[in-house]
Amino acid sequence: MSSLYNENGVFKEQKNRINIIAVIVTILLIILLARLFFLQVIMGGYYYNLARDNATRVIYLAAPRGDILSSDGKIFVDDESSFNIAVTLSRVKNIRSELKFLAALMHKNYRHILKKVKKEEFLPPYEPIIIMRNISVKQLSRFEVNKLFLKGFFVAKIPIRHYPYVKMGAQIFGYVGPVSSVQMKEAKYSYLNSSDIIGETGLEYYYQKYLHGKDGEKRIVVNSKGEPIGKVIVKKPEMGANLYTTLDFSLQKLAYKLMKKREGAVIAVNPENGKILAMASTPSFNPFYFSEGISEKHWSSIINNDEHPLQNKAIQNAIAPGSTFKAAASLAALSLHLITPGEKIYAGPTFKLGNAVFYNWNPYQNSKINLYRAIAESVDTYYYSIGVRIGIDQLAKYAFKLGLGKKTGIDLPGENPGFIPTKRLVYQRYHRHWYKGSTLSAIIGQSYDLVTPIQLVMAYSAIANGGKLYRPYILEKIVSQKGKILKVMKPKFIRNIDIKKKYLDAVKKGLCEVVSKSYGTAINARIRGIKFCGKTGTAQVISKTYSIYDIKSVPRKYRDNAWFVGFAPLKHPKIAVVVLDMHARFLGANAAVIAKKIVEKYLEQKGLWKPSKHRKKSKKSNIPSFIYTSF
Amino acid sequence: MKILNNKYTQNFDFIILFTVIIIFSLGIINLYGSLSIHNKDFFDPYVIKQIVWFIVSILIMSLIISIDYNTLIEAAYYIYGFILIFIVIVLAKGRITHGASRWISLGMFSFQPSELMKIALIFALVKYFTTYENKKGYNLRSLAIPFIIILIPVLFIAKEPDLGTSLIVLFIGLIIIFLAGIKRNSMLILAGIILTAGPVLWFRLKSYQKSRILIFLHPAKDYLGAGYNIIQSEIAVGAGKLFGDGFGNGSQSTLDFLPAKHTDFIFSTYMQQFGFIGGLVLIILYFIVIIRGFKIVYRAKKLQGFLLGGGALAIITFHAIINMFMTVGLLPVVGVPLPFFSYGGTSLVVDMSAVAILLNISMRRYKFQS
Repeated sequence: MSSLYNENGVFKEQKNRINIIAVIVTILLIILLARLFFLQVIMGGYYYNLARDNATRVIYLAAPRGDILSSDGKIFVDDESSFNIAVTLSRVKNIRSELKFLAALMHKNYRHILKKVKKEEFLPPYEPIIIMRNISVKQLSRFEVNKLFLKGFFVAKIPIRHYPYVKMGAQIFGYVGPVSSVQMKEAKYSYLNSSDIIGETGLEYYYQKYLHGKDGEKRIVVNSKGEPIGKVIVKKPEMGANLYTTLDFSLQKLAYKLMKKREGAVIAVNPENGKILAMASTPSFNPFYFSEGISEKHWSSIINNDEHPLQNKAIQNAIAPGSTFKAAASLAALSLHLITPGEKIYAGPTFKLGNAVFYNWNPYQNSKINLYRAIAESVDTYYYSIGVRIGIDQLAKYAFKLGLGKKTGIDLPGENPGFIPTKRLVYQRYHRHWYKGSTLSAIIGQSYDLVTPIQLVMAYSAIANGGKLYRPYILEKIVSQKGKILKVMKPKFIRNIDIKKKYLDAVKKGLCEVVSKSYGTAINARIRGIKFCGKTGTAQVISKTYSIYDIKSVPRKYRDNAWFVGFAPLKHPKIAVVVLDMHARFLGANAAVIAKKIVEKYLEQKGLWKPSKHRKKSKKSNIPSFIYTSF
Repeated sequence: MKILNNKYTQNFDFIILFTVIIIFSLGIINLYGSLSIHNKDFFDPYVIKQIVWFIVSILIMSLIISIDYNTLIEAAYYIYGFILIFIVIVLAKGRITHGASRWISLGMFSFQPSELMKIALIFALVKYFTTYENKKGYNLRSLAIPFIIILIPVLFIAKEPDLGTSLIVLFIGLIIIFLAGIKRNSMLILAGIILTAGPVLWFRLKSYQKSRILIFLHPAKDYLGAGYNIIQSEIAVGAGKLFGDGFGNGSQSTLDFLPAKHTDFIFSTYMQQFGFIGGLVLIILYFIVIIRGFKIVYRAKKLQGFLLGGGALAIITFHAIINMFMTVGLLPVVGVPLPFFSYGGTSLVVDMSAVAILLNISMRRYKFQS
């Protein structure tokens, strides 16, 4: 056996062993240095960011949304500060007893508040939790007085959408709501934070990008317990840009006021450029309910309302135009040389096609009449006699020329294209072949015809202005808070409708007689000193043909829809108006009277018309209680 | 007899002593820099206590240096037995209070007998191997008693439970057996026994001990739980980048993200403040201490000095390497302090005593110089 010691008695084996250890230790230190090099030099940036993320917390500060204003700068929708009671859990000693105190103070249910806190408990403790939203001034003062006893609780001012006119124009301006996780994933919303609100419908949706503004943030350095340490860096939020609509403030208010108790829509538009002056859709809803996420109760009450408050009927509701379609029918007949304006054609109480009998609305009609009278009295049988001579595709061609049955391109979401039948389109859509009798219904705006109020008013605008079809628009301009103009909308001329002026003039003459002649269907819409021209219409909801029926016996939702569309004055028209009064209580000229009031208001504002003293006194008698002469 | 005659000073290794003082001073600076952001105080209790412990350990060091190590070896079994009693007391106290206990409290200061056992064990083993010197090398049977000497404190400390310290005590013992001259065959058999004991031992581990080892393998698996320490430590080290965030700017420690930032993870604290360059400086300082230590051990003329020095050096080296390896994620987390650097009195005394032993040996080399 070999010895550990050498011949001199020196322990050589052990000395070798210490050398081995020295080498191993050196290697280990080199490994350590390599590891440090990897962590600090190669991965340094990565770990640096991790350390920073560890210690900084970001709380987003919502930017107030831009205002929505009228063209004359009056506010329709703006942001106001809501007062909310919030709590920072990291500062509260005993959350339960404090909440009990708060609940008693505010006359609220303690369990309810506790539930709210519990729901947010996964949040880091420095993050404020809002426990009571939008408190009243009374509650606020009660809170402020007792603030000393409520450590960790504070009043958080949060911008919230404010609707000074509540339901007015709610479908146009739209509502906002908390951004959903689905929306967060969309590329166009990449600038949003999860706590943001977002425009869901209407202008709020259409111009969301401009209205939103830039969110601010609060950067807080926190320690491992999440307690704030040191200074807070605040980046102030920047309010979104203001949106000036083309709407005329007082006209808009009037339009809503007149429609408030009805179901339907009103649009007033400048026929020379397509600017929307007023737009109302009723019944409306309170958009405020949506701003913090709508409650089940409110949602079901809105969604179960069969008058569809959320729908903007002015652009989203396509229904039969009824007799208002006769203007298009007349233009088609004139252009195709089927009639001349002065030519008298016999029109009786009924019209027979094969075995089918088509009725005139007025059973006493029995004479030869010209086009003007046919329009003024809205004689159905006159048009039936054209209907047998005109092909449906030719009729549709002229309707399309006027922009009916197609989207107008208005800058609001969800526009309905409507429908104008041609043989091919009907087959595509309904898989039905065209039946000759349907042309007779189509020519008086029934059967398959579906138009939106906006299409109708733009078509009549084109007739009024001598044939120029414009794209309607509701946004005037977008102006940033610093006064920079971000976007300006200019009138967009789409095309000339390509119908001879003399035919347009003939139809216009007929339209004016609707109001001006004693036999016109809208005599009650007469405006002293102004040539107000237009057309009434009644669209059947069910296809049963009544000549006259007792209105009160029909269930409301089967009652006919009343239309009026018109413009004024005849020369150099300033305003075109459409009124849709759905399931009208009085099948009447009420629609025309509403239009008249809007026109009067507008022309008065423009200095083109003055109400007489005599008229003002008899204001009440203006709307007749029961009239059914407006077919 | 003069305590410090010419020959003593001639062979006194000033380099080791100065390097250790430099490391300690860096440690104090680092301790200041690691204080939590809202309790910065010049007379910080941590710093003051650490300086007091330094003075205490200098006194103990002087005491060790002034006594010939051969005299100390003579008293080895008494020291060993004395410390063992303390360990048993700690263990008993833990049993009564139903909690882990590693400390014995002496008024303002408290100390860990398990740390002191490291020194005592070296002396006991050196005493045994010099009493029963075997020039042909030891086989396993002849190593029975040294193993008993090692395993008694190892098992007691493991019961505290302090697995880290008990393993270090075990390894220190094994290093001395290795240096004393275990036969190569026996060494292989021993390695085999340890390897087979490993899995058996695994099932005896407490769950937190198991998870520490598992987490070492997959730290990200339990980010906020058992993996938290090691991840926060790696973040701190990495965040230092090349030059560090600067004194007092180690956010991981000032904002308390780093656990045990004054003791076990002091190295991470340092690395975030002073970066790779600072780390390089510190490692070089340790390297100087260790290499000088090796030189002293290598140059020892007698087995007593050789084994004693080897043991003392093993304490310092183990502590330094295991601690730094664990903070950068190269070893599982065990409670081992960084020599001269971590906050903690007992470990400072132990490491300084180890230095004192090395100095003692280097000083008294003259006895063998002709």
